[in-house]
Amino acid sequence: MKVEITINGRPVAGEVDERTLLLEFVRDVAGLTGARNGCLEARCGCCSVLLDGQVVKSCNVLAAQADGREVETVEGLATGDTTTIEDPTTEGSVGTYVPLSARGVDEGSLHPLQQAFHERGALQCGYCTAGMLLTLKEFLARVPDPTEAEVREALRGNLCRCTGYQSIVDAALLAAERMRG
Amino acid sequence: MRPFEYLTPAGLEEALEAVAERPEETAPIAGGQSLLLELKSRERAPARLVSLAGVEALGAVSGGHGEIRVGPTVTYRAIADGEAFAAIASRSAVTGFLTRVIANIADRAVRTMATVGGAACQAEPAFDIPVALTVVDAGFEVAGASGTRRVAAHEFFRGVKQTALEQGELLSAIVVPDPAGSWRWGFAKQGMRAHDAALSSVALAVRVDGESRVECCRIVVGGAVKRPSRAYGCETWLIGRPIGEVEAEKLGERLAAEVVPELGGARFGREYRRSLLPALVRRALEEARDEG
Ligand SMILES: Cc1cc2nc3c(=O)[nH]c(=O)nc-3n(C[C@H](O)[C@H](O)[C@H](O)COP(=O)(O)OP(=O)(O)OC[C@H]3O[C@@H](n4cnc5c(N)ncnc54)[C@H](O)[C@@H]3O)c2cc1C
Ligand code: FES
Ligand code: FES
Repeated sequence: MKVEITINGRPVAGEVDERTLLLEFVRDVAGLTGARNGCLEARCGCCSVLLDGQVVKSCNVLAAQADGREVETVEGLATGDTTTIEDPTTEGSVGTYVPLSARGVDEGSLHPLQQAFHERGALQCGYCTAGMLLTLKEFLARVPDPTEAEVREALRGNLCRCTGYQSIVDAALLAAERMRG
Repeated sequence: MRPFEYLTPAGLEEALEAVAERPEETAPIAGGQSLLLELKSRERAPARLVSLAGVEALGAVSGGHGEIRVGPTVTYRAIADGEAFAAIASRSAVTGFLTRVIANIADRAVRTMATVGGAACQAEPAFDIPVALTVVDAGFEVAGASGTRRVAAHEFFRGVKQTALEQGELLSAIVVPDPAGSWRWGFAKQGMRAHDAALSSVALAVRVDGESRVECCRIVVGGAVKRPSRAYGCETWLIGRPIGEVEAEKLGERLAAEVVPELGGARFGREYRRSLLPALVRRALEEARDEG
């Protein structure tokens, strides 16, 4: 069937099998690999994207259900040019903090949540990060001045196997403060 | 997943025709939050999916004449955000109760897609909707080729994933009574993690008289049993007692003694699920006292 979804403001059309999940459409048809498959069972939140501004688990939505609608992925968060970092685990940089600017990334173009995640070390392997960012983006739009408990509650459906969550919660609170201005 | 055709009817009649055409091979899809899990695991393999999302009549909410009609495709999100019931002046605070229950189901991402009717038709014992709709004494309107019939909650939920729906029929409305009088509601559940479905759950509805004595009540247990089950013994015991003075411990002991758990696995056995009931009914009672 033909499915057309506006992803990060760009219409993406594809002739796909009816069984195609929104996650597969975003990754394989649109080529945006930020959303990840961590469970395919609507449990882990790694695949979270925004559908018409509301967070969904893209592994548990058919592309057909999103036909004609708008999707936002992690690639849509930063404005301007966010150069992909080549081989971020090169030996020389292990254990050395290298500011993003030194890697050719314009920090000013990051979304406040991305900036706060970077500063607070809110990611390790990064597998959960895209889902965390989009879940938090939708949450902070609704609850601009949350308590720590509210942030934890908002992340109920997003699992992180690395950080222990504290740094993610801290980053969310920092971003919220900055976004309130 | 097995291959399927995906149909998008625009109206109720068209949707009914689509599901009635080859009923044994067809599944309606509302939010897909339960259905897609079953398709991915190949627990089910319908050849046709009929999307209810484009059927406006199934997503409407209206009130009046002592009842509130909730379209089956109304999402948890629309209810939790206060949109769905915004235009309805509920006299019994039943909308507030349903909103509290629904805002605490699964997580925000699931609530964006999941619908009240989908959860009712899925009829899993661990789900909150069947228990909540039973305690509010909801009616279920079922539409089929031969017209529409109304089924009471205790007849609608038949067992694990079993409802009164026949093949080719659609749930077309959930009718929630909005009774006069001073009704109070409470719900409590216990799952393994915050976003997990319940091992046991308890819902409570009480109407009190001018002296705050319980005049009428319903206590419904879920999770541990195959379908939402009333605890009639505890209900009788509650009648006539001043709501503020009910000894929650005693009610808990009675409930644990009355309910016969039917479900349980190796990790969370029947006796464990029974042992949760006293704390759950105490929490449900506290909510009913505090929130009205
Ligand atoms: C990660 C996760 C966690 C969850 N946690 C909880 C929890 O803690 N508590 C809880 O209660 N629930 C929980 N749920 C379940 C959730 O409540 C249900 O999945 C959801 O409400 C089903 O609604 P839906 O619209 O997505 O239904 P669908 O998946 O679209 O449909 C479910 C079934 O109902 C049928 N159907 C749907 N609409 C109709 C209709 N109008 N007429 C006839 N048949 C129909 C479908 O054919 C299908 O068989 C969880 C789900 C997930 C994915
Ligand atoms: S991959 Fe979608 S929730 Fe885990
Ligand atoms: S950073 Fe590794 S899972 Fe969260």
